[in-house]
Amino acid sequence: MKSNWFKFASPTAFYPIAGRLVPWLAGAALILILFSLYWGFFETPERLGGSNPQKEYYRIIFIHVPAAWMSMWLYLVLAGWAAIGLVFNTRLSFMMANAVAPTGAIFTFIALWTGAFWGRPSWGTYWDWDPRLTSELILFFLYIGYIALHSAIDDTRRADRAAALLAIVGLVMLPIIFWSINCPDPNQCAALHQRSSMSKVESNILLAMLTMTLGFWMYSFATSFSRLRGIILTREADSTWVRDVIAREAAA
Amino acid sequence: MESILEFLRQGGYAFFVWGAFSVTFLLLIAETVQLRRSRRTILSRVGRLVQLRGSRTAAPTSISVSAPLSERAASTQPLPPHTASGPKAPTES
Repeated sequence: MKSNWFKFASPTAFYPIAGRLVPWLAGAALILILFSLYWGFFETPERLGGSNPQKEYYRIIFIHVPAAWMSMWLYLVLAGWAAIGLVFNTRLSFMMANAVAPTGAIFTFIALWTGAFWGRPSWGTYWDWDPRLTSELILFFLYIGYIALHSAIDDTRRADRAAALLAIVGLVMLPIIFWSINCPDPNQCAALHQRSSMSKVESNILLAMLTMTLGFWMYSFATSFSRLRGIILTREADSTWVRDVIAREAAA
Repeated sequence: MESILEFLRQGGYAFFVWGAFSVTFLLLIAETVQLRRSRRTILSRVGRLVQLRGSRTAAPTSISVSAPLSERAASTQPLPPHTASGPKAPTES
């Protein structure tokens, strides 16, 4: 039983599985995102809130919140695979961490960008050094640092270990981002984001937001698996099974 | 037509709404395009690498076959007596 756990942990076994999954994941992502866009733009109210309503610009919520969730979740996945790689010394874990990083960086950038475009009409500014904005920016730099550190070291195994360590240390940012709006006394500190509760969100808005989150999730799976396949081929270029794969792909 | 324009205006917040949505989906599309392109370059590069190695492992046999028989005979024949029996025998006994 124990060996079964590691059966799919070999690049050889996972390469074809990822290849079969990617088209389905990409299709699911496309459907979910299109549905969410339709629902978000045509089935939701035009304004949000009571006496001082957020007008049409609140629709940025449909990409901003899912992207921000993905930026944190993907970092957790990245650091998780990095930790598993360091503990068990499995090749595929490091490759997984590598494959997730660019997608995570993109979602972090999207969260920051859409946040700026939402902040201008609602708070009156594109950017402020508010705790949550600042910590999310640091998360973006952590992704960039992980990618840069990995590509700066020529020896792949050393690059894996060094970058993994950076990713694990950077994990400290996640709780900071998560609780950065927890300001007990408004006179002592200020946070621009308000505390939010899922149960209070209008049901149509919640539906569009959650389907977009699922869509982004499927998108992240599709892009990381597709990137992972490239990484596997490059790193395992010495093995015979790669030669067979190349021959098959060339024939197809 | 009227309703489409109304939709595009987003209540006067067109710049913010479309500015956020357009950049988001441009980035996602750019990532997929880049992945597709890198897959093609990786396939061709690794393919070339595999071919190169294939020809290199095949190289020794092809060279020895193509080498003149007289040369091979000259280089291999004197070796066995020197290496096998010559230097080793005294140390073992």
